[in-house]
Amino acid sequence: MAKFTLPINSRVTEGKTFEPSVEPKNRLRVDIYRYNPDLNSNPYLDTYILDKDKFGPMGLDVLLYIKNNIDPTLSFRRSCREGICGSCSMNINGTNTLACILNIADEKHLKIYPLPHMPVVKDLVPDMKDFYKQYESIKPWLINDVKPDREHLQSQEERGKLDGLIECVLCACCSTSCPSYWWNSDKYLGPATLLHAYRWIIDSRDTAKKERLSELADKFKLFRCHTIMNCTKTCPKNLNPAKAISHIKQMLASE
Amino acid sequence: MAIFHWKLQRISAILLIPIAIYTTFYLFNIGSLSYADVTNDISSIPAILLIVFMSVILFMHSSLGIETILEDYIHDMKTQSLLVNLSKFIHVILFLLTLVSLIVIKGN
Repeated sequence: MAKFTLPINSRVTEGKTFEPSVEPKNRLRVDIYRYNPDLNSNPYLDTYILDKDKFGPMGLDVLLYIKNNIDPTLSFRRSCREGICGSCSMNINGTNTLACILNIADEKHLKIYPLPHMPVVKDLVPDMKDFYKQYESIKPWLINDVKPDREHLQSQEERGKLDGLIECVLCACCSTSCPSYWWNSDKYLGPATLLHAYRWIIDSRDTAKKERLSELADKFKLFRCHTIMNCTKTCPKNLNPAKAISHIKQMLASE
Repeated sequence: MAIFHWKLQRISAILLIPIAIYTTFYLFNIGSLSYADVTNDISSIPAILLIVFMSVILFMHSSLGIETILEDYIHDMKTQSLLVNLSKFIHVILFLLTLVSLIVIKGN
């Protein structure tokens, strides 16, 4: 049975509050989910009172400021700081997003959690192992036995079909916002993986379209998508995984 | 099989739209009709065919929908299979009850 409440050892308790000695002029309250597996205790919510004038306007600037100046034990992933690597995906104020491209200049209160329904390694770092296994399962590489002299050519139109798909950075914001993925993440591939599956299905250079489609024709791998559209709403790169999934369904239905 | 299930669920949903509109309008006006008028309406051949068709579509759509919900939320495969089969059985019973009701009304 799907679990509708958190197990007792996952319930979030109150943590510490870090307040500056002088009340900040441009006040920002930041609540951050903290979990340390070594402490063998429940996760807790630490509160940081900050002055927005002391750091940049993005969500990642806030986290870096806290880590560098207040609490070096805070763990989170980050790399490119411009929405290309997909490392800093997390849940900020109830929406999955990339911290590095989220403007928080107008915010007074931030609530930062790791991506929902993923095992937590530490603080804001989720375990992405199963997500990457699912991605691997769709064979995300070109399948074509013909070896051209130089490269596989594509017309501009054929290449145009890949726009809105190849920009996906596999941050997992979409998959972890999907209720179907929450309940059945062991069997349902999720929006990110399916968007990539579609990307290879419609690639004119790929010759394994039929095999790829027949691999997806499963009531759990693909058809757990109930068109809830959270994936499209939350995608920080403004992509449309729901549309890609519906195209796969249409292709299967019209075969 | 998964594709067939998905197609059937969508086709039955589309077919239910005109049926639901017609039934809603009929039920809105039922207050102005006498008992004899209603039984006469139901026991006419076109009405019987429409009700049988509507029941097939309605119970099939309902059964497919409940099956999807059970697959979503019940993770133990034995319990899931048991409940899916129970749901299908109940839907067949409901359809048979509809047929029996029509026969009784037509007989009177």
